[in-house]
Amino acid sequence: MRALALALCLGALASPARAWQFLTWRTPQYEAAEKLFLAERFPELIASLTPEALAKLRFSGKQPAAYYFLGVSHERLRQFDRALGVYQLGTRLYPRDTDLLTRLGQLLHSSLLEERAIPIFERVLRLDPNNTAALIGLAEIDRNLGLLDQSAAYYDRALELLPRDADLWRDYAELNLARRDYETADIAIRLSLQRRPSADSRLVLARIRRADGDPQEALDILLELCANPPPGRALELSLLAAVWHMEARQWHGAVARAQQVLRAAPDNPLARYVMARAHLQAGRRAQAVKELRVAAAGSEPFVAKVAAGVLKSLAPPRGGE
Amino acid sequence: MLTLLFGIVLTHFLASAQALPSLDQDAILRDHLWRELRSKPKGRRPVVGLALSGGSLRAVAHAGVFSVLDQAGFPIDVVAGTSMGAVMGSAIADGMAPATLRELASNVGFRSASNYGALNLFRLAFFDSPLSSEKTERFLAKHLRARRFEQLKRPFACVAMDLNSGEAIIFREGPVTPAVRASMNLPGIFSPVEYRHRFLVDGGVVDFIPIDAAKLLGAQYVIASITELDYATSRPKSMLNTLEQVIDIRGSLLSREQRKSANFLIEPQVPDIGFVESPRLRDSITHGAIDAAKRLVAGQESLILYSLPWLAKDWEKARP
Repeated sequence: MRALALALCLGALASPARAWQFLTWRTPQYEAAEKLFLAERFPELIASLTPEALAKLRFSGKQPAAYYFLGVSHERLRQFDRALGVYQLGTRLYPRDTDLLTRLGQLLHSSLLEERAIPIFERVLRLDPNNTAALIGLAEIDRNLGLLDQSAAYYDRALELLPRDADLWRDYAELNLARRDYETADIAIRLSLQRRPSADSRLVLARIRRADGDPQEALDILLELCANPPPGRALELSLLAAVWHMEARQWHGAVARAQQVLRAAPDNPLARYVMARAHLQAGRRAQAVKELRVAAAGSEPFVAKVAAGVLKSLAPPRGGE
Repeated sequence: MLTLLFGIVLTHFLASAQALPSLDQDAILRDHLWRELRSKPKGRRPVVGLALSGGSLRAVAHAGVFSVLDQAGFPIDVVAGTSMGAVMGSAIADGMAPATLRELASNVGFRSASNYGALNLFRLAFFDSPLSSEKTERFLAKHLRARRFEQLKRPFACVAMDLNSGEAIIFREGPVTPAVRASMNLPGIFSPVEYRHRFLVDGGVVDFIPIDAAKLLGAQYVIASITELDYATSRPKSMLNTLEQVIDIRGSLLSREQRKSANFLIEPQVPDIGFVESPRLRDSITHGAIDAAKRLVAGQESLILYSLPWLAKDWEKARP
């Protein structure tokens, strides 16, 4: 004890400023980084948190948070490989830091490295069973892997912790749509809409109605969205409406929507495809072939392949309509 | 303060992590045609077969593959399997739900398939007395509802090899359990199965990926799930693993040409699993699901494009 006191006194005499910092837990590097993080000045934050600066935070208790700031900053600048390196180093140094572990798991999950994300999220849940980010991460992974019941169990736990989260209710509705449990999906999406109405949730409601065998109600919801589309989404909603009209054998509606799209984008491949199907349906094969040729030359790879495939499977036109 | 910051970032994550299904043109058309394809009864779309390769315990990954395909609504009409693929395939053909199949897959192993034990291993090593795979039949009988191929919910075939002629024997009728047992009857370790006047061993020796068997059942479009090992990096740790690797290499070399005849390949990158490493089976199943999930959109597009002549025929029929 005496030796420790002596060492502290000698340290204070050698570098009084550092000793003061240590005794008062002041960490100017950390505070500066925190300010830069809050101001979303990520390049400056990365420049400020050099390895030397991080090393100085070693005994302050702030180093895990500094790694977190650094990792998130790299992510926000889309430098994912660097972010991964930061999180991996951070979690090696602080294997029980759930924030760093969660971030690492999320990054691996968003990079589709599920086999590596799963054990990370599971480790987080062992440390903190109520960690919602890990619960949601595992729910999403299980959903992607077709383990829908397991996914539902994770969503249930997350929803108990975040019952006001509209997006989470919407994800849960989507999961139940995939499970073909339309009743639960319907309840979940209506709860999501109650909490925060959004075009995306309305669209999920429309998809639930469509899957549940009510194409007209689905179309009605979609057409409401088309009448008042969110910014920048008018074209895609109109295309979706054209295709859903086609599914419901409402050819007039399908053509009207496709034509609306073609007025804005004359060579739109999917609109051309819908027009072709309408022509085929009406027995106008030559016109269908003309539309399909435009769609097949389009920039959408799958639409182009389908159009080319349909062209191939159609017998050559015999001249008449 | 930090909690607040985490809160901000977490909220951002929650808002963006689970993206809504894409509404790009390809995605809209894929969703529409997939729905249409799934609604078609057999006969108005191609017959879809699932061929499950051998690969010893690695092949439990097929359970993960099937879970993903089933959840996405792939219309699997017929199933063919070799070796462990035959065990998984028989359960799929029996109509086993994916969750139950995964449970079954995580419980298979050398002990559930044989009279493996210290004394019998001693007899194998010093008295040249092979193990018996009879237990496989009891294991299968416990889990399968159907007793005969004809009672299975989906047409099913499995492949074994005739030890005298070297022929691939494709089973598709009669009792299921002896056929599946023969299909996974590792030569050198298990006594050959005497069945219908033939001595039969593991089909993986001659037909590692049973695509022809699936076609024999009428499949027009074959999805092959292949659990080959990266032999270049594999280091077998035991006599059993070495023997198994030799059989697999031979089988997969013979199947090189055959795999080209599959319409769509899913190749789970499953690490090697020893015969008694049952705790790692769950990892294999997860690997199967992960790799199938990664190939899902490509698989849907491939099947849709293959099915276009059938679908377009209906569109033409709809003409007034």
